[in-house]
Amino acid sequence: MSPDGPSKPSVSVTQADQASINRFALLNTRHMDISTNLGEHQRNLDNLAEAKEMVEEYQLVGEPAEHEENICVGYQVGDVFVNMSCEDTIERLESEKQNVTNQKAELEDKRQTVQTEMNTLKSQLYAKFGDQINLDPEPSD
Amino acid sequence: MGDTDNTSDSGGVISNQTSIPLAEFLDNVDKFMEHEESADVVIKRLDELHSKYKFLELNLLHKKKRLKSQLPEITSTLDSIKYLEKRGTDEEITSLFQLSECVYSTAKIPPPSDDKQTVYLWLGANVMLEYPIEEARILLENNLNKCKLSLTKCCDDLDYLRNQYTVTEVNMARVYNWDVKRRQLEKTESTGDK
Repeated sequence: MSPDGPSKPSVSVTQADQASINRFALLNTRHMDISTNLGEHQRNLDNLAEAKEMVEEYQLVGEPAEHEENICVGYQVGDVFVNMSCEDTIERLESEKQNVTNQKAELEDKRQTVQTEMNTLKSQLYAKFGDQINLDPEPSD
Repeated sequence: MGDTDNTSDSGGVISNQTSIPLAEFLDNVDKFMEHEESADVVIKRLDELHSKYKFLELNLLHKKKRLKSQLPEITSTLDSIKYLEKRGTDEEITSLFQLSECVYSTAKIPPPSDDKQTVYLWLGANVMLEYPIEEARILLENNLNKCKLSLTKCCDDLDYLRNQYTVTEVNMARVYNWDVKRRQLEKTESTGDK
């Protein structure tokens, strides 16, 4: 909040206003956290989709190794790569993808709710304080 | 989670288990400043409180980052255990594991010879224990839940801290404005007298 100009009367801040300002700050932080998480989930989804494509391609052109009936692909479980058949790998990739998509949808919903409440609080606070408060993110240079 | 404590105590009241001091909200700046020496002193005091909050926030953010990085480790270990549990009793698993940097080696994990399958869990501090797989899974699930709880508490503390932070910033702005207004009044009065 910037100091007053010499001719503007300052509006008094009530406890309720302080609570609204606090709530806005909280929501702002939450919004940033959710956006970061969403970015990570999107990257995961892209990786999983790419992995699935590569496995499907390999399934068509690859050859089984010695002593193996089916073509095997190493799937990372924890710290080790476990040899699995291509079908099993694709199945696991699909279920991972489904998990991540569900989580992403939940986060999107949360972000929407947070955004709506932030907009309401913004209009309330700007109506009361006008120039004396700044609720917009600073432009990054 | 708003501040309801509005007494005229100094802002050093500890009201949170992790000792985040409570920032009092100033209902009436004029009344508050009657008891105080000068605006500069008050602003300096609030500024110190502000820096304290910044420091606490840094600590909490580090803690949160650490907990957040532990979660995927525990989850992936749990995944391995679930995978071992799921496979058939006569299935042998072939896997690639990292022997050292850029060197991987093949390993064959034989099926459990009897009904009891055991795993070895690294507990830290150069200690590794053998557990039956059931117990290992329960232990890891408990660890995962504890980690999630700590993370939630850390986030709650951060939220509370941010509230105090915002209240302090608003207080600083209001005291500063009050001071500016007072100086202008004095100036107008002194030029009016002349």
